[in-house]
Amino acid sequence: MTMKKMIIAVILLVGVIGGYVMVQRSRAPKDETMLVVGTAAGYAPWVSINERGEYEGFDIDVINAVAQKLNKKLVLKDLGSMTPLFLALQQGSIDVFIWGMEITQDRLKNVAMVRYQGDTISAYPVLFWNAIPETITSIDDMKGLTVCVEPASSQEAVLNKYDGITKKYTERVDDALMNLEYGKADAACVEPAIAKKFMAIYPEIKMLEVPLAEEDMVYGVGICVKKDNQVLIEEIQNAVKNLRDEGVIQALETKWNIS
Amino acid sequence: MNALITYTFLFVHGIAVTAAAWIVASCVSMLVGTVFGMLSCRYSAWPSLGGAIGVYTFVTKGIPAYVQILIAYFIIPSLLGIQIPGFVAATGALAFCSSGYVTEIVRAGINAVPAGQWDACAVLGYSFSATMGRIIMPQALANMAPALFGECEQLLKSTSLLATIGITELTRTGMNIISRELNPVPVYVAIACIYLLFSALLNIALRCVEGRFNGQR
Repeated sequence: MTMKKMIIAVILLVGVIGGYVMVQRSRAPKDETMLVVGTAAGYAPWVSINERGEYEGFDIDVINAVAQKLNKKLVLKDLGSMTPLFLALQQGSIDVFIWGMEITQDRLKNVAMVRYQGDTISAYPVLFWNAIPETITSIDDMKGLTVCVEPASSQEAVLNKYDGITKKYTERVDDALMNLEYGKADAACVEPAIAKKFMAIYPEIKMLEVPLAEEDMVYGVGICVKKDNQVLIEEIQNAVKNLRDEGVIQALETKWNIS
Repeated sequence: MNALITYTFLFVHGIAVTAAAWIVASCVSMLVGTVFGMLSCRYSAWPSLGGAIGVYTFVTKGIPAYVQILIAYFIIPSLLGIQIPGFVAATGALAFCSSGYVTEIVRAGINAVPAGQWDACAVLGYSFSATMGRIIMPQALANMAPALFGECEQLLKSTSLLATIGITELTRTGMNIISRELNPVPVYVAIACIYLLFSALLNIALRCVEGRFNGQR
């Protein structure tokens, strides 16, 4: 291929990509019949992809039921992790997101959260592999230990208050599990539902409960909505209340073994 | 082992997405990098472009691929008021990131060809494109091949970054299965083997290319 042909090919390629992007321009008004929901698979039993390639889990069932109540078509957008979920909500490319997100006072400063599951949590589980060292009876004794925690989680906010604990950031709870099993960390601070699931599978895991100060308490699990979208917040609140009154959410908790 | 069999469909899907992202990003990166490398070499017919291409390589190499993916997926669509599908944004960002390195490899490969070759072409009245296409590039490619294949291999591993914006490529497929089964070791071993298989194919291709160049010498 001569140089000229190559340059023409590059120009054509740029033209094709530019044309494609132009076609994709979304100048049309937002489709009010759709509920665009962000989530991230790989967080069973809340959200994961089953062996047939379908999204399933407690959150998926809940948001499906909410969309039905709102008489809207559910559109799921998998955004991979927490940062893209918050970015997308802020940008308006999703209406809400659902991802087993705990309601904390810190998060409520940035987004509105509609509680759909769980009660107030006043203690967090800290997990150890095989045995809790004899010298440790509370979190105050954990100075010098390395503790796995998910970055930007409410558990991290709690650990930040204790000097001397080395935090090892693990993006995913199963990474924390591997760190514990292979002795790469001394402990892991996770949410209670996850701790329960781990302990059911691995009898080697031992749990120490860390009481939370009032400002660190968790007020259940919520659907995140942009703060200024008051209409949608109220619609989702009503939908969740109806689902709770009809016993749908309780049935789903049983189905997915979440309590 | 049972988990690997149960989730065969997901694994095949993950492999397909990884392969597609890798092939597309590699092709775009090689094309852009080769053109920019030729335009910015010591004997370029357009020396004034050298500065602009220098800025391009500085930007592409200086920003981490993860940040480039987030910019391509969130910030650029927001600024332009357009929608870019996640796969296009992430693959484009990987290609953009890699093209800076390919530009440097190609430029260095061309500059390593002895100056006498250029002089001979000039004496014989060859145009820039004929000089490049018929004389310089065939020699430069033999020098560049290992580095270019190395960049392709690096790009293969970078495809796991697609997971950060929710694309279920191979690594994320594995993470999803682990979250369901809570049995990480066999899944990670399987993922490692699949990446090694891709890598082995690339190495075979490199040996073939090197053999061909050696045969021509």
